[in-house]
Amino acid sequence: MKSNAQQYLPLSPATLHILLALTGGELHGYGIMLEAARHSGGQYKIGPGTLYDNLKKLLAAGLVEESQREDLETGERRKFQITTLGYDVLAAEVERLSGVLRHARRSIRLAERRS
Amino acid sequence: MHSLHRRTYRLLLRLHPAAFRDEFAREMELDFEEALHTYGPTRLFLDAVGSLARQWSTSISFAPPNPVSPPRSSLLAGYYVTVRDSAFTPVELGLGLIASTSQLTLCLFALSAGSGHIPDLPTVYASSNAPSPMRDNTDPETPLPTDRSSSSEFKPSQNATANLGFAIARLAEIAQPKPELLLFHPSGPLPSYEVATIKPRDPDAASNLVKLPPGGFLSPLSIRRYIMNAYGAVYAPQIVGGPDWLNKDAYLINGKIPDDLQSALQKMTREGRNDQTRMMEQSLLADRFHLKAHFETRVLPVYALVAGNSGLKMTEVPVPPESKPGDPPMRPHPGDPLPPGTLVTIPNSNGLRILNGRAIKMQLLARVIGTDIGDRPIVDHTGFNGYFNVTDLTWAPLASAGATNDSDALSLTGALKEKLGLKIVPTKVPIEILIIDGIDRPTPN
Repeated sequence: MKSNAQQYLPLSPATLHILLALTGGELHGYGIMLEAARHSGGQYKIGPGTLYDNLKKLLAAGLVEESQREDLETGERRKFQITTLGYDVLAAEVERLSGVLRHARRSIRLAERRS
Repeated sequence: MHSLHRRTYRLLLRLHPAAFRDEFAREMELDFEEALHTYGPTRLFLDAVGSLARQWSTSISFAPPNPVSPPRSSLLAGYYVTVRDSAFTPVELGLGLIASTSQLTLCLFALSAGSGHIPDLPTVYASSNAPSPMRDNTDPETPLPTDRSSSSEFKPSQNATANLGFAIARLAEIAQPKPELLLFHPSGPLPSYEVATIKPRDPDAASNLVKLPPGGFLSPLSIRRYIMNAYGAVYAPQIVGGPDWLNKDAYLINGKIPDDLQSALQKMTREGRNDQTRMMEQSLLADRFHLKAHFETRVLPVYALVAGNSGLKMTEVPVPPESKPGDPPMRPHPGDPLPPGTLVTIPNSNGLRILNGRAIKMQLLARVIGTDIGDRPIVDHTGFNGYFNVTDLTWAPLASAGATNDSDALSLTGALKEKLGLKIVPTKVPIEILIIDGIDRPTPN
């Protein structure tokens, strides 16, 4: 499964934030937008266009699935949830980013010592 | 202004490729509504324009070659005939963008120059103090024109930006698909009941719907059903939103019609009386429930009634006489001959449903059998505009599947095919819906 997850890397910032937002449970579109803004401290806000561009890809790749259809009678919104493959991809991306961070910190430290 | 934003955003959504639009436009519109206050319109419009560019670029650049492109029904429906198989070059895309932008600009100028008044943008209803559809006005200091003709005093040249905005809204209005199922719109000032009492009843009665016209008396029923009746909705999904108690609470609503209106009703046609009753119900909803709502058109899944492969098995009959003022309400007793233009369904002792109709149109047949399908309405796509008789169309209703005493009974689809030469197929069509923006529990009697 891990090698399967590698093919989706690296993730775009929007994809990363959407997957991260869905780790807390199923959400509708606006819920994802709010959650992405919340966990980025308000620095990264996704609009509906960006959101559904990415959700379309994530649904097609099987990283996200629809957990509830819209119900016009009850007013229930369409909801999405992350799949097992989605979790694997997110974990792989976090590991990749951790490696990037480690390398970046080391490079900065070396540069500081040289200067 | 929010309505202008909404319409502009809807226009941007309609410019997306059909596949993307069908899948996500509805959700994007809902998210836009919710995010408008926190994100601001500019950011959301730019986001939609970005999405538009990405989706078209994806669909043009990465669409698989299609050697034989099947022609589609309509360009306006959002489907396109492929005229070439190779991807467009950046230069071609740039030229296309310039050409389409020029055309759009010309359209906007033509529209803004041609419109001498503010178009009726938002459609906010449900105040009996507002006699007819009116613009949403949040500023109490600014009175609304009660007569539409007075809006001609607006000078578009005084505010070019506003004019351009209205032109965009007009374009959005043009892009709006024409609904196949319409709700009831009041045509004049809303008449009111002289006195109306609203009494809470056992919530178990909320799903019942028994109407006893004339006289404005309705059995205990849910307020959602009352709203459906007041706005002429033929199925529940046409009324969207509102709190849970709309479905759960039951009320007995009894209204006394003023004497002068009562005598006027006696001289009206059946349709006229129904319209007056609906208007009084809308007035009551506004006064006592403080209903605030607006109309929208959405593309929703439905079933279409179409001719079967073996051809129509119904015979056209002459056009029935129009109903005249003073005609009695249609309440035929069992066994009585049906008046022309009417249709009745009754259950028999075996649990089957039997439908008879005399000189009815296909639209009426579609609407009535749609109540048996439940989840979606049925719209008439037969193309037959005449009048037809239906005699003893019998089927086992879905709700009692397996509970009938007649194991050979046909389903509705089977009965339509065998007896009438019709069939129902799933499709999507624009439908007018009512969005509930706000409603309170009724004020005391």
